[in-house]
Amino acid sequence: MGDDERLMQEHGRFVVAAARELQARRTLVVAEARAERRRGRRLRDVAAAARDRNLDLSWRLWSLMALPEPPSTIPLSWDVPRAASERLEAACVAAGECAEACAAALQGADGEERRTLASISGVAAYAADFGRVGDPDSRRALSLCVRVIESNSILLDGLGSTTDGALAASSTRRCAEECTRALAASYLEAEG
Amino acid sequence: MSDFDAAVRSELLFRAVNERIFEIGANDAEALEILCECGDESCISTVVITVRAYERLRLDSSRFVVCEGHELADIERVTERTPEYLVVEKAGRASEAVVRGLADRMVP
Repeated sequence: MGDDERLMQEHGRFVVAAARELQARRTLVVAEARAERRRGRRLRDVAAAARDRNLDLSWRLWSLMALPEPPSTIPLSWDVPRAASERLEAACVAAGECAEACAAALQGADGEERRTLASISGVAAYAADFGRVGDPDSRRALSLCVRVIESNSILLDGLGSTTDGALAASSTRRCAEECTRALAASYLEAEG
Repeated sequence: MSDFDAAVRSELLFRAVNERIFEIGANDAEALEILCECGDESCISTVVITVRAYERLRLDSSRFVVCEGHELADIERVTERTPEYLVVEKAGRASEAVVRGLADRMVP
């Protein structure tokens, strides 16, 4: 083997080793980014709740004449409570959008990602249709939808690399939120 | 609702959802990730099954696909065992309940 060939081989080995190292580092960075994104979402929720509490207190202070001017906005929690049927309708719309977005994202996906998207799309489509028909089983369908989306949250967090994937991921989150609200409203209405 | 009826209801719900997953995901795919069709309403286990195997399974309405350990020995018997899943067949009263449930089922 000539010197040039040996040099080339050594260089090749070096490149392969460097690529492996970079790949491992990339995996770590991606995992950290996902964890940060989840933490960011949690912090955003906490901040929204704190802002709401703050606004509520400001309104109370104003009513006690401790503030000269009323706050310019009202807390989100003061929103007129929506009836369970309205919540159900909103959940069905969100589930329908989620089903469509996940089906659209199938094009650029393969393997586990594709199977999971098809799975979520099917569950969401079913939940949307059952809710629209007004079936008494709609709560079970919505609950199943939420559980399936939540159980795949880690995979969904990683879909942001393509536009369709990002749209699908955000629509699943919206769907899970709307379905959870609809379920809560439905249970509250049934109890009270 | 009795436990038996609740179990059959859950199985039919999971099956109906799986049919949707099949409609959406079967095109150009070799395998699907479907829900375990067991009688436990809170189950969210999934099963990876080939499209062909799923099509074969759906030819018989008394057959369900479940994860290992999710079968109910008193109302169904295992007809196929793979490393990924089991295929169970309803027997007697359970089979009748499935047929009744399919007839009553309001599929949108």
